[in-house]
Amino acid sequence: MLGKGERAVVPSIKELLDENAPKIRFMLQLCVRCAMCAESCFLYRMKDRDPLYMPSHKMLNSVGTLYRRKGRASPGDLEKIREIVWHRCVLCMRCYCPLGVDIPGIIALGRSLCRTQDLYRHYDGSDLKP
Amino acid sequence: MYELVRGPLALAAFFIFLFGLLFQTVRFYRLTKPVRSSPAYKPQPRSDGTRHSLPSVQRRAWKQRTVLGMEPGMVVVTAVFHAGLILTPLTLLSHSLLIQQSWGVRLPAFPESLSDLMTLLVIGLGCYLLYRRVVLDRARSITGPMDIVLLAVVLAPFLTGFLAYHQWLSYRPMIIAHILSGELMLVCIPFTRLAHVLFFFLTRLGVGSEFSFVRGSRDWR
Repeated sequence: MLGKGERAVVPSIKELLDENAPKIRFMLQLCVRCAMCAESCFLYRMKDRDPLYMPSHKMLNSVGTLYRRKGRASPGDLEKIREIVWHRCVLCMRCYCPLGVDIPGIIALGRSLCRTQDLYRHYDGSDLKP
Repeated sequence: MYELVRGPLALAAFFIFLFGLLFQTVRFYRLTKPVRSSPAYKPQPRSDGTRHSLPSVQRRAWKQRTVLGMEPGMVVVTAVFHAGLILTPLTLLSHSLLIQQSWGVRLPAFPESLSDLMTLLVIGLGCYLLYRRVVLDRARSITGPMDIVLLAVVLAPFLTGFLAYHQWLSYRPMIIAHILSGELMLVCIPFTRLAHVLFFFLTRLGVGSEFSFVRGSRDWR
């Protein structure tokens, strides 16, 4: 069992990342970090315009991080990613990107990556920190 | 040195640029698939859906649905910046003369004073984009060192070209720096985030989505 901060390659995550690598690589290159997608997210606007809720921030810090680390993740990393893809995004697909990045597609992939590790959203809120 | 950067290096940069863009186009087509539209699909006239809604609601809906409605200032800034970025080098008299020397084709050129103004505008707006990256929370939160480097790569040919034209510093090294930085930018375009010069048109015109400019005939695989 890994410690919370120790990173190791997670085989099922690595496999899914490899399978989707061409699309992830393309989307990460297509995103020019302009932050113009922010206002299109209702959660971003509802949460006092906290950058953590910006669509591109969610994409880059979930699947983007896992891809950059080639599937290496610690339990702590996976917990952060679970919170991003399950709590900070509801996959309403209303986010727009001036360059056409398929942000919901990448977040949905982030959820698939979490599912391989049995990481979901608990709808009673018991998984949220007090 | 001048002959080297003006001759073989320039040619190599143009080749890498063009073949790089070709490679990226192929890559885009491999990542997308054509979508067949349903035979039942009939485009609805826009007025149908909004006929019964209040004009103010319509206006607000439009504003909240598009980047132009939400961030009009930034849309104008980037539109002018990008137009200047592409038009200035293509319509510069000195570039037109170089092309005539090399290939015997004379391209139309803007007056030098206008090109000078456009160069200053590109540099000014580029500095604003850098300022925005540093000052705006949401932009800073996703900015990495590469974003600053790429902005510098794009602005360097404009700055060196401006300095070389006005000869405020010694001309020869400056014009060599100008050509080299231009070549560096050309080589970087297809293989970095600068590839959005091509991807912008491929994705926004090719991939159909609610927010795309046209209906689009392709979708992500």
